[in-house]
Amino acid sequence: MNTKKLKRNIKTIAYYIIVIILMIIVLFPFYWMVASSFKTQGELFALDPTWFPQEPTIENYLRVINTEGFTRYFYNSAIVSFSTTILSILIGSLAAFAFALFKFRGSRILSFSILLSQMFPISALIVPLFILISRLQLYNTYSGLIIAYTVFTLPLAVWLMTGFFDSIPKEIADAAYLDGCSYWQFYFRILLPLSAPGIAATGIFVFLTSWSEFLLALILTESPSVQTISVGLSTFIEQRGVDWGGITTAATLASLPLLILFWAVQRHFVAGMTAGAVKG
Amino acid sequence: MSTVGLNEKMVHTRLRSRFKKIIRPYYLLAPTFFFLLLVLLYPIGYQIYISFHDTKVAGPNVFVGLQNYIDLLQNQDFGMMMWVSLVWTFGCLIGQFIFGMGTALFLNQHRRGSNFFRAALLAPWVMSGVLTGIIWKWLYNPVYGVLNAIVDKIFHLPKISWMGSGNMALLSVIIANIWKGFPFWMIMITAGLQSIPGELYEAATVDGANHWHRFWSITLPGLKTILIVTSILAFIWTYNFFDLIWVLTRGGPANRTITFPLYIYQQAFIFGDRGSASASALLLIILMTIGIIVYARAFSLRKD
Repeated sequence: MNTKKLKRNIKTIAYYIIVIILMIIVLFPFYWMVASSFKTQGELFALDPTWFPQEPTIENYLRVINTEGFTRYFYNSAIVSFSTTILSILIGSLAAFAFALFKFRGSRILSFSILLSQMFPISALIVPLFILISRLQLYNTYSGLIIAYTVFTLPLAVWLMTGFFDSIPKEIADAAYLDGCSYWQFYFRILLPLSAPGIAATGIFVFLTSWSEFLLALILTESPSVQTISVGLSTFIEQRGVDWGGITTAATLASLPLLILFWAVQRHFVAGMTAGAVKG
Repeated sequence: MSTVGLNEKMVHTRLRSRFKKIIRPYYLLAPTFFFLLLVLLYPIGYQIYISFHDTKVAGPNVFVGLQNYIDLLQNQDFGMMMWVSLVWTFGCLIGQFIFGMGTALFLNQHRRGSNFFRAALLAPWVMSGVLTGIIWKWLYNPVYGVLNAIVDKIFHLPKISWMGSGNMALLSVIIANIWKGFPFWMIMITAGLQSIPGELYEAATVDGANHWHRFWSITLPGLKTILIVTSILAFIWTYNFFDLIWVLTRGGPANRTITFPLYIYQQAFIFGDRGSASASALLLIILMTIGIIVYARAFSLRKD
């Protein structure tokens, strides 16, 4: 009787020990990035690395924040990512509205082609995209980046929002119709407010994607006044190859929005992604 | 979408007939498809055009037929790039699969906190490629890096030159990408595991099947669809992943970590040969498509 209980307890303890070891291995690189950002130069370049900062300092943070170029990269990323998010949601929600609430000829093939374009490799298009954006006089501008990002985030936005709109009870559309609700009234007053949480989640994904993007920003911009944080970080590492205190600080600051926003929506995200996969 | 009931259908038709005169759903789709055509379809067409032209000379592009493709296949770097791409893609996929499957199976128990652990393990996947590159570049630092400190102080082995030699550099970038990519496999496999009915396992246990038997005859077949989908998605992402390798090695040393996207970038933006870059980009798309078709075929054939 008691041996069974004992056995179960041992199993539980073993489970948590293994989980803790797993978490340490997987999360250690993050810890090391953050810990290094709080170390002094002397400690960073000691031949015996210290597991914890011995004399924690915010000197690296002050230095990075006061580097004008760095704050500018942050600002650029914020502008580009916000604009992309708004555009992508506006355009994408119209398409999602059509897919979720209308039956029309070609709806299946059109939604499939959107899914297919989501899979298309950007890296294979860098040459013609560079030429296209240059010809549109948008090279090295916010607008050029925003247009490119909008297109590459649209498929996911449409896909996710179609799912959210689909899940709105159809009785509501019925009632709205009987009340003489117009088409745009339905979209603005009913559809958008009711799916606000889903739209917010979609917006966050678009934002995260734009914030993380690197290759397009690398080929479509050249001056620090418009370059995003991804390009900024890669320049940072090139120019200050030995300033690991500064580099890990910059990396910590740049990863904060990613980790915080992701934590806020991870439930939606995991559900949405796996549902799509099981269906598809 | 396929489960539209009668009542809903009626509403659809009513809504539609009511607004048909004002606007059709195609208008709603127009902005999306305008952008997709402008920034996807037009560039693909232009890419095909430019891959048959010599762009290195000043003035109008000169038609050169298949010359760009022929040059490409004769280029020494191209062979190296194909080999590196192959090792990189399959190395990452196999590593991510093993690690993702292991963590998914292990965390698939009803215990306090398992949802939290899963969410925390997703963190590497949220990191951008550039940030992953920076984090690992510091870990791999030959003199001050913590990995070499562990190798030296804890295991008393000679320090490793992680990025120094070709094979080691390739292995190092693969390890960094396994870290970044395995959570995606973990989440997908977890979803798959939860969709397998528990009664199957109970019945198998009654019949005397052990852990290993149950894994082979219930778990793996039950995960088949999700593993195919996941591996195709992961294949596309890995094969086209530029950021991480760029930050870690720039394709070096001596092109030993150069993959398709880095090669295209190098041709176009460093050597200034857009014709050759376009030809290799088209080859990338063609090879990727063939790979996916062969893979999907192989699996559906085995089912029959």
